[in-house]
Formats: sequence, C-alpha cells, structure tokens
Amino acid sequence: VCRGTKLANLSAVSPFSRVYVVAVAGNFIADAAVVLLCIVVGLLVAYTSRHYLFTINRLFGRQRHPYVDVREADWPTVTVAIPAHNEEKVITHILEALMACDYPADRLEIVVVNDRSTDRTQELIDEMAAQYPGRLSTFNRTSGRPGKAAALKEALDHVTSDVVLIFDADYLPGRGLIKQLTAPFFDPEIGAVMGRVVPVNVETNLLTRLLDLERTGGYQVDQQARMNLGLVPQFGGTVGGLRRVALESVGGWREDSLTEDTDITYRLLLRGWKTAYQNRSECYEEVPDSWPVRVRQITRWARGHNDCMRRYSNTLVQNIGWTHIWQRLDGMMLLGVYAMSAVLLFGWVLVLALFFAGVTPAAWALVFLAVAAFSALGNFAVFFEIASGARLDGYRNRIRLLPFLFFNFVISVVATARTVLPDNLRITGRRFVWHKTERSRNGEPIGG
Amino acid sequence: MSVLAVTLLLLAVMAWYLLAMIPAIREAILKTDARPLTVHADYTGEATHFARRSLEVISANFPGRMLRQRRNRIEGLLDNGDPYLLIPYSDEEVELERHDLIAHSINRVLMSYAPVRVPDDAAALSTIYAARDMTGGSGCVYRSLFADGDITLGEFSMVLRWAHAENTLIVGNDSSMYGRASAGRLVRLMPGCKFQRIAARRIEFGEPATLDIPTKGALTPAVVPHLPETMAPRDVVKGSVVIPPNSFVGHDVVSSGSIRIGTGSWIAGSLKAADDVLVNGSTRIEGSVVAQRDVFIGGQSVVRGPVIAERNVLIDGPAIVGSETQQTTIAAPSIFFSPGVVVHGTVWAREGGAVESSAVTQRSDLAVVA
Repeated sequence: VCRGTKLANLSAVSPFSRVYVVAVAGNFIADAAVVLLCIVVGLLVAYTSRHYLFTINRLFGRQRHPYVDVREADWPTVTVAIPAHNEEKVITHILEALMACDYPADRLEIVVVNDRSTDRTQELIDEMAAQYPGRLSTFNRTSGRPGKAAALKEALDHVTSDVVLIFDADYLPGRGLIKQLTAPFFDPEIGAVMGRVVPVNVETNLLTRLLDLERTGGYQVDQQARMNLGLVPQFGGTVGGLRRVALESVGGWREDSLTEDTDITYRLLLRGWKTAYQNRSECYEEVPDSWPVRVRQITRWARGHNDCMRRYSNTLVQNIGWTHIWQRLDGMMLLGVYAMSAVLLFGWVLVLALFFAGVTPAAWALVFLAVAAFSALGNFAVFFEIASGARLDGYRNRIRLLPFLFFNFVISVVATARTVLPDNLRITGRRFVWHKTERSRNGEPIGG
Repeated sequence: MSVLAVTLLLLAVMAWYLLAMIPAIREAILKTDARPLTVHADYTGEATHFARRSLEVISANFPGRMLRQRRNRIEGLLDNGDPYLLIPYSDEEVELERHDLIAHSINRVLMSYAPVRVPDDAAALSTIYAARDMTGGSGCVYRSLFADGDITLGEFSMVLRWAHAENTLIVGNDSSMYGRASAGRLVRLMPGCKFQRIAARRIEFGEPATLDIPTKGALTPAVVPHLPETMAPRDVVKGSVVIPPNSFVGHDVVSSGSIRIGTGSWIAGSLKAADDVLVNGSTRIEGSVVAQRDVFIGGQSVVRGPVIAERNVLIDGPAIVGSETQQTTIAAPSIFFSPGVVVHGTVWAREGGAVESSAVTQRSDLAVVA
C-alpha cells in the first residue's frame, strides 16, 4: 500500500480510513529510512575522506619526527613494565633484548608483571634475574581482577620512575628503543608516547601477511598522519609509555577497561596531555596466525573501544579548553571507528529495504551513495592507505595481496558489528572478560 | 532465462572476479615479498656509528702491533674485498702525494700509522684512517676520515660522509661537514662552517668566548596565566606567554602560542610552544626548550636540557647548551649558531646548519620583551 504512495493521491480517501493511516505511516517510515540512509552515507563519506586526507598528508605533507634525534640528555628514570600471563615461549627473548638496551642501567628498572602464570614463566624470569642481579624484578599477581589494565594498575601503583614504558611479552625491542621512546617526554606537553609495531611472523600464512599490511596502513600512514597534523595519535598499550605524573593526574589505569590504551589516550587528551607517535621507533611483535585468535582480538578491541566511545564522546565534544576543534573531530572519529562496522551493515540492510519498498532516494543522495558504495565494499580508501604505507616501507609484491583484504574486512565487520549491541556497551552492567592473545612462537625469534 | 544461462553467467562473473585475483593468489602462494620489515636492532643512532664500523674492519685486518713492525708502503685487499694503501709507522709527519689519494675504488681505505698531512686542494675520495694525528690543507675534499688522535682541517674543506677523531676535530673557516662529524673530546667549527650532525663532549662554534653564567640573584617570581584544572606541575596556557625580564618561573610552561622570555630570567622547568620560543639574553633554563616552529636563544644564556624545534634553532653567542656532566641534544631541520656558542653533546641539523652570525642576529630583535 505504501510503496511510492503520496498523500496527494489520497485526497479522495477519508483521513479516518485505514488505507489513509497506513499510507501516512508508510510514507513516514520511508522518509525516515531515507534520512537514516543519508546519515549512514554521510558517515561513510566522512571516514573515506579521512583515509584519503591521512594518506595524501603522508605522501605529500610535512613529516613530523621532532624527537627522534635526541641522543644525549639527562635521561629520566624509566620503569619498563611487561605484563605476562603464561608467556614461557617468549619471555626470555624480550628480557634479553631489554638487557642489551643502551639506556643508562642506573636509570632503568624492568618489572615483569606475572599475572597468575601456570607455565614456566616465573621460572624463566627467576633465571634471568639471577643472570642480571638488581636489574630485573617481578610483581606476582595471584588474585584480583584479570586483564592487562588491572595488572598494570596494581603493579605500577608503587612505581616512582618519571616514565613508565610498556611492552607486551612477545615484543623484541632494539638496542636504541628505550631512549627513542623516552625522548618525547622532554617535551612538557607530552603525556604518552607510541612507537611503531612491526609484525615479525609475516611469512606464517595469509592472515599474518594481511595483518602485516593492515599494521603498515595503521602505523606508517594513519598514526604518522595524525602526528603530522597535530591530531590524536593513539597510545597503543605496548611499544609505548606514559609520563607518571600525567598518568597520576588523570587518575591512573582504569582496571575495568578492555582497551586501557584507548582509555588512557582520551583521558590524557581531555586534560591537555598529548600523545606523540614515533614512526621510527620500531619494534617487532607477533600477530595472530589463526582466524579464531584474530576474531577474539579484534572483538576485544572493538568492545573496549566502543566502551570508550560511550564514556568519552560527550566530554570530548565539550572539551573546548584543552583541545582544538580538529582534535575533537579526529578524536570523535577515532572513537567511532569500530562502531562504523555496525553502521555499514545497517546501511546495507537499509538500502535493500528501501529498494524492495520501491523508494528511490533523491538524485543528490545517489552521488553520495556512489561514493559510499565505492568506499564500503572493502573500503578502497583503506586500500589506498595500506598500499601507500607499503610503498613508503619499500615493499613491492606484497601490495598484490590487497584484494584479499576484502575477506579480512568482511570478517572484521561481522566480528565488530555485534559489539555495539547494548550488552557489549556495558549499558546492561555486564562485566567484560579479558581474552589473552595466544602466542605461537616456537624457538628463537626471526628478528631477534 | 534458462538455468544453464544463469549458471554460465554466474561462472563468467566468478571467472572475471578470479582474473583480478590472479596476482594476489600468485603472491599468496609464492611469497616473493613476505619478509618482515627490517628493524635494525643494533642501531642506536650514535654519531660515531659509521666510524666505529670502519674501524672494526680495519682492526680485524691489522692488529696494531703488526703495523709497528712494517717499514714499507703496502697495497692489498681487506677481508671484505676493499682495496687499501698502508703507510707504515713513523714519528715523522708524512705528507701524502696526490697519487696516494687517487683510487679506482671509492671503497679504498688509506691507512696511515704515521702522522699525516694532506696537501692543499687535494681530493681524497677514499676513506682515510690515521692511527696518529691528521692535518688537512685548505680546499681539500674528503670522503670519510677517522683518526685515533686529532684531525685539523684547513679552511674551505669539505667532508662528504663522516669524520671522527678520538681526541679533537678542528675544522677551518667556511668548511662543509656533510653527514656526521664527531670527536671523543672536542669538535671546533670555525665561522662560516656548514654542518649536519655533530657529536662530542664539547662542541665549540668559533673561538669560545667568556660567558658570565647567569645567577638566580633577586628575581621576581613570574605569574603565568594558565588554564584552570592544571593537575601536574606545569602551566598550560591558551595563547602566547610573555615572561617579563628578571623573572623566575619554577615549573614547566606549555603554550598554544609563542613564549617570550625577558632578559635575565631563570626558568627552572621546561618550555613548550606551538609557535616560537624566543629567549632573550642572560637567561638560564634548567629544563628543555621545545617549539613547533623556531627557537631563538639570546647571548649570555645557559640551557641545560635538550633544545628541539620543528623549523629553526638560532643561538646567539656566547651561550652554553648542556654541560660537561650533563650532555644534551639540539635537534631541528635547520640550526644556526653565531660564534661563541658551546654545546655539550649532540647537534643534529636534519637539513643543515651553519656557524653564521647574520642568520642569528636577524631574529634577535623578535625576542625583545619590553
């Protein structure tokens, strides 16, 4: 009844008749659906433009690496914290790498936060501690809330160092990395620093190769462009660190957060502390090499991220004192990045519904739809970003894998879309459960 | 439409799609580009990196004791295949002939175990390693230099890659030091010199001048207007900050505009500006100075922490950055010093730097605080 029916055609029908009421309701729903579609398309266009802006800035803009050349200074005291839960495959490698760092030994403290490991992790730490007396300590957790944020909160409560750096146990820092990550803290505006994560197990399978490309786009282009443009580079929770007084000034770690990194980035931003991204401070990591592990990882990230969106988006919009408008806009878009999966799926459903209802959007909307459709299926703007990042890294043939990213994209969209449901947004009071990413390293690391 | 037609259409579409996937499938199977990005785990960014690596190669081939026993010049190949010319041990200074410096390979190493002198206007496009001191004439061009003692280069010299002296490196007027220049104790660049990366416990730009290190004296505590809710020990200011002359600031200052510091002030913390940081003379800064545009530091000033700018650093002499016990870094795309500036640590000018009074004095009037 309502397909394309206009009120003008109902002039002969009584306004109290059933046909009239259904037609009015149908038109209202169709109009509302078109408006919603326009909003979805507008959001997709905004995110697409953002990817293009970042990529073009990275390719042609002024690149900012202000702190990377600081080699000599009166270095502050640093605590390197390594959260560890059943890390027997990797813990020795990171500790050996840290012991070889060129940071003054009397100003560097290494703390392994052993969070209820049931394997040989503690035994291996003890062996290392005996080998390097006075340079390594363990914080053992046997109870309390599980998860990285809770472990860090408990372990770092008593730290008195000026700077706290955090590495996941599967990372392999180079000799100069501690100095590189500490250098930005000579800038009194910097509250957090983030280095670049480089996958080491690229060759394992197609998934690791796709994740390598994804990281290339994310760090080489996305994070560096944010740094260049003075926007909101994100602290990633590993290969990075925090100024202790800044951390304390925003109330420390939030132990109930699934993405303590995003959470702390926004709390610092809201109090006038900036995050610096150091693209040349690279560190190897292991990326997930099986799809179930990958899905769990990205689902956790999406849940935590969406939780931050719920918590901070309102405050950020109103934060005129500490942030400028472009930071607020970029911050909002960064917060909404995982929610866009659900928005995209909703947009697809809406388009199909409108098509079968016989409703055609206005001509101007079609232009936006065309751009959005181009962006939506696999998101070509992201492809452009990743391809540019790979080019900047000097890669050649791996760019040919880009079409496979479509599958990665579809799986990520499906995995993350459900995280916007009320139960995942903590609206229902549900407690999140931390899922540790399994390690697959077997023997000596490739990049070690 | 028949089932066959639909099936054929679907198969054609799939084939068309797979056609586009062929390069991707090929790469996924063959893994021709699947190595992790190279991260140089051992590289620490030290200014002496290349010099040390070269010395390792030489030391591996010629342990010092062997060389003292040699009496004649030798030519040969190092273990890595690079050719070399060895000048034997002597207490007398040896003046190199022009044909000594000509090589068919830029990888050739000229090793001298006697003090060595390079004649004026010579071009040494191979690496020179001097186990004693080395003196260069004016107008010479070098590829790379390493000396266990001192290196003294004449005016209008040019080093294309790196130069390192274990003791002192003195560079004559109007020379160009591309790449890295470093010394164990002292680097002195005379007026008119251009440079990129320098490192030493003490770096002098021009002849050092006497500096009256500013004292705290009777200073007035400055009131910096800041945003409310500042939690950490710093003042965050929206807009520019002007600190009057003879003021004392006891904490860090962060400004979304520029920062100007009046003459004779004492800053106990660090400074950060989204625009310029302009420091008038006779000022003492205990922390770092960071600007997203230019940093200007007036004469008779002392800065203890790193100085970082995203455009230019300009320092008027005499001034001291860092100290014997507290090495520090000056980093910016362009760095200009007037003669009399002393830096302890590292100076990294990514695009280039110069010992040039005119560039510095042009900006000095901007720093004036009434």
